[in-house]
Amino acid sequence: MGAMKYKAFVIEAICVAATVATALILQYFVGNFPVEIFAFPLNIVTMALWGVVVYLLYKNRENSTVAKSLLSIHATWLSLGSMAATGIYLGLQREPNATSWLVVVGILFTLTHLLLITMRGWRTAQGIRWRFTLLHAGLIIALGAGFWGAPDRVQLRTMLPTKSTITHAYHLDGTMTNLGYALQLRGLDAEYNENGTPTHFEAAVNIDNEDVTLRVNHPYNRTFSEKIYLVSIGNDASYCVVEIVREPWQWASLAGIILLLAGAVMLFLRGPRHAANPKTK
Amino acid sequence: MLGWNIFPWVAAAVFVLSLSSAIAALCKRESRSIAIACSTTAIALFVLFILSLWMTLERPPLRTMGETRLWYSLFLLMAGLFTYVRWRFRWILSFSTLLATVFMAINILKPEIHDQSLMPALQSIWFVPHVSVYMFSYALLGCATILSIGALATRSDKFDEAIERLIYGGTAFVTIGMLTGAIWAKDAWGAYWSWDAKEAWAAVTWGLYLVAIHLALRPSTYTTPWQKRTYYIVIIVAFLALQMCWWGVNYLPSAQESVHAYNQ
Repeated sequence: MGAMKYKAFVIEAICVAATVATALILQYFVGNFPVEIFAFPLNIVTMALWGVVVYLLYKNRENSTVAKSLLSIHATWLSLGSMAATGIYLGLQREPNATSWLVVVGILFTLTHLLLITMRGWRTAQGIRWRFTLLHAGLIIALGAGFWGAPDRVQLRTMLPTKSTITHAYHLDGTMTNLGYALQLRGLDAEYNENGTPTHFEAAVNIDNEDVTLRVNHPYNRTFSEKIYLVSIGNDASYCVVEIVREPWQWASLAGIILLLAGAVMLFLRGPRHAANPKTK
Repeated sequence: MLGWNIFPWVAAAVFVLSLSSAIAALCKRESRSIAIACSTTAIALFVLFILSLWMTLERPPLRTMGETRLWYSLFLLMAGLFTYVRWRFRWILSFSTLLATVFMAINILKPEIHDQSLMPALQSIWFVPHVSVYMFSYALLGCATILSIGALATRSDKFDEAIERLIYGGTAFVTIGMLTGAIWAKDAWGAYWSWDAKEAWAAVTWGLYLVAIHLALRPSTYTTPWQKRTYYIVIIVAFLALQMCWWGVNYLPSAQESVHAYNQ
């Protein structure tokens, strides 16, 4: 390793260590990352600012040390490593804490690196690199929608007793909120195995003056951003529990997933760019 | 209809055929067609059994760990045969037979309840593609791991092309399995990704295979010995993470709260 490369590597290592240390200190003194304060429209504003900063970094990549570092192979190893480390960290917890500062910083770093390398590599003199672009852009959109959209995601639960009209639901922390419309359970249907496990259950529910049937895996799309799920039914068939999820960014996530899927299919069909052969490499 | 009770006989027949195939592949180059015929017959028999079990249970046999082991054994034999036919590694059938036999033996020694019940959460169009695609990817990546161990032991270049192609194919299928799971999770639980223990280990596995692919993209990986060893080691470690994601996670305290607990 040349002296210049070694110096750059040391600087990168110091920056990473300082960022990790800052995240740990913030976690210790402030607690989890305050996701709620970045709810719409602040998340859109910060995302736009982030996009501009990344674009400016890309434009000045020849002169900017930061841009060079973020475009380097070390940044690739670091972002993939941080993905694996995040998985291990969260995978060992009973209640995964995805809003810790370390996780937030890791995802933001990965998104920044992904956006920079996608801007650099989406096309060459030979044309558009479709597989590269689908995989990287798909991951940016899916991961970005989950990241920037997290503050706008609302998850509510409520119990619907038979024939009662319910107009409120509860956040996961127990606080109550008004739904803005009415839910009424009209009937329940359930079938069980001999061992008592359910094979099928569904609830006939009137939602905002519309009769719908809720089943597991078949949520009701109330609006563009809201889905209502059947969670469980009472053993005596006198009530059911429903979950209301408001997630305006859900379709962006799905778009990212579809792009990634297309990229994965191309990864299989095309295989390695040129299969390993020391003579040609 | 062939139910679970005849599995030991099917497993024995598959073992004998696969072993014959492995021995034929090892003995003489001229017996290649015998190896392929035996292996194909073993796979066909296995496929018939799984289809029959599917009809007997009146649901896809993909619910329990034991049922996923069935598919894994089948796909291992298929991946082994594909690798043998495509790259002519005469010893690969021995390893794929050994691994498939281990998983079939576990199913005989530790039989699980193979009843008709399929809980509502699993009654989804995503159930079969999600699980079978994952099992297929596990088999491809299992073969890549065997070849990586072989490459590390022999310090030979001859496995590199096969390893790279298997890693690309396996990672593509891992990605498809993970994404179909995410779409299903949104329909079932309201979130594409919730960092559940199983999902977290899936991310670890995916991340490590992406490291392997990015290493393979670098020409220096194939010209610098320590980088090449690192590449093989990453593939082996990724496969260990994959085992953690598949069944190891069930033994972690974090899995007690997992929404994937029905596969234990």
